[in-house]
Amino acid sequence: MRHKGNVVRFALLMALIASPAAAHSSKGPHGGRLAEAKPYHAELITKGDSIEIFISDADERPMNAAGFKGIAIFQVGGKAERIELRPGESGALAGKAPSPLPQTVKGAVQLTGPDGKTTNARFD
Amino acid sequence: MFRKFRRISCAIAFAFVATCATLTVAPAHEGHDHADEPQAGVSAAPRGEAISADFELVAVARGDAVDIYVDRFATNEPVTGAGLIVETPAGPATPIEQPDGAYRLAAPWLAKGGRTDLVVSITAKDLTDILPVSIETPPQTSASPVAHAGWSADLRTVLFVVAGFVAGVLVALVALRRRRAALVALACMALAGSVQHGRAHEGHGHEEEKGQVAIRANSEERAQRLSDGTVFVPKSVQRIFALRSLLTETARHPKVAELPGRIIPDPAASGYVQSAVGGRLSASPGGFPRLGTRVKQGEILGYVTPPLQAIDLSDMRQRQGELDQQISIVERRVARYEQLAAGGAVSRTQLEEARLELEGLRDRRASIEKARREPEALVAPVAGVIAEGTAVAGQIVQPSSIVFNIVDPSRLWVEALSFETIEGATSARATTYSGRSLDLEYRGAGFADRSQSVPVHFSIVGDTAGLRAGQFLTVLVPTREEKEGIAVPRTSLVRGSNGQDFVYEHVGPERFAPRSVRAEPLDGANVLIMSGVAAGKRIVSQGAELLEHVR
Repeated sequence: MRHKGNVVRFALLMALIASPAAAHSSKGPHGGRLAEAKPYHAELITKGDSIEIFISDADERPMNAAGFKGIAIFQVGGKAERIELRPGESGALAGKAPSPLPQTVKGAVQLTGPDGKTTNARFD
Repeated sequence: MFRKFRRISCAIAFAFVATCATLTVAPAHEGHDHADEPQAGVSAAPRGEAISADFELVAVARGDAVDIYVDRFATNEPVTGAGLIVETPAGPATPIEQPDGAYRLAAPWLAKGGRTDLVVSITAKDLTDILPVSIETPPQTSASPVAHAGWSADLRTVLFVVAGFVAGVLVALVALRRRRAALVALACMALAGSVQHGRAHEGHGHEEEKGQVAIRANSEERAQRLSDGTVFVPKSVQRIFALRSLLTETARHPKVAELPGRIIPDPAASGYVQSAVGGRLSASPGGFPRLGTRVKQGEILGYVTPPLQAIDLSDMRQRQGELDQQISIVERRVARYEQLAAGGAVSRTQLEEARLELEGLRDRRASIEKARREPEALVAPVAGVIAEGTAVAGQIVQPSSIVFNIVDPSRLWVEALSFETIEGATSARATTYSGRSLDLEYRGAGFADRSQSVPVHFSIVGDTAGLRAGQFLTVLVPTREEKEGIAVPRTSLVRGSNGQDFVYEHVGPERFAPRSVRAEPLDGANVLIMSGVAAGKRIVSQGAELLEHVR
């Protein structure tokens, strides 16, 4: 019976996450696109073929990406491109795309925190 | 001594009552927890959903596999043959498409429970999309959910029992303030007893929980109506129901006038076979054509032999006798003239006149014979099938009675009755009682009033198979007036048990909410929603009737 409670709570949570309103895409402190990746925030900056993800906590205070891992899956030229992200020098997760990315690239980023828990951020 | 016994029994009573009280509280609390759960309806497998402008995705955890359902967002059409790549905790994986349209992915990483984040990239024919989705599974789903629950219940019961016991002891202490040694001994006994109680209860709880798990496993993929009136339909059931939706849009549509009508044969392609004379029916060599027989134009369908009345017969005999007499007189005259003409006593002209007279008399005699015998042939005026007619050999038909009715089933018209003049109508639609929709072309309207209405003729365009003359239908004629509303197929509209009209809105990937609407007829296949639903919503266009029956 307790599982049922979990399922319901989860369904409600999912409804919140899945609703387009919740996946808010706004400007971040580095001028990139900000998306929610509970319990963090992820800011995406694409420049040519380089990708940077700045991570901030729930209150949007910047965090160092050390200890984080990430995988970005972006829609490039009608194909889904999987790009691995590693902590870079600038304190952000960085990766290289095989081809230059458009400014408004669509896709999702999966972050794995230092505690091993994963979270998704959606950019569209 | 007696006092001591009284105190001891008092202490036992306190400790026992307190223990019992906590024992009853412990499960009561658990039960309360259960009843408090909102929306008891969704007893489904753990699942996650995601939507984008093109797709709707639902991932369902089933034991150690994940079933991913991908549908088109607007139409709810299953996306089959798409290339899916799922970013799992164990790296990228490709799910395998199942015969039922789901994409199945082995998911050993689900066993650890908790939140699992997946990123699904979909490549359908012309579209690519990337959808993140999370599934929250209860810890150790497949391993043993019962054991975990059982342990925590056990722990809680023990805690309650101990607390109850301590409370009982304290109360007894306060009440008695003496004989501590005896109390300690009693306390030990009470503890032992209560723990046993706790065990017995816990075992019972185990069985109940197992039962619940079993029921849930069986009923996980069931559509159900939730307490808020919405219908929860798992994607697997949606596939079975073949639910489809459409995005509503407001547009101006011409107002439609509904007319009662019935099917009539095309006047140019149907006809009657009538007998011009009264007489006896007889079949043509092939027999009478039966109902449904296809006949060609000009085909002889039978004969009518006029009967000879007694007076006619005697009249005829008399005429025959007269003619026979005249013929023999003229024959003799001709023979005499032939002889005399050779000698020049009779002019050639006279001989020829006599010959012609004889010829004319013989003709008349022969035609009397013929008129007696020759029947009237019944000829098909048009090609078609025999729609009506029960000709029986030997039957006497009256003059101008209809022997056969021939109709060309591929050329049918509709005669509708209109109470007002229909202007500018060029096309219309008609629906039969069975819901079939027909395209009509305007042919003309009568001008003479027939019981306060005028007949309007339409020809049926296209396939007429299955239709029959005389069938009633509803004709929908667009008028010049226009109305603004949302056009949805007739199948979208369901009528509730209270007679109210509803449509189902697709509010979430697996949620459908009934919306009360006001609808007006638009054409044969569509209705116009005047209010109740806004534009840009997804309305179920197929399978709404099935949703309505979900309890």
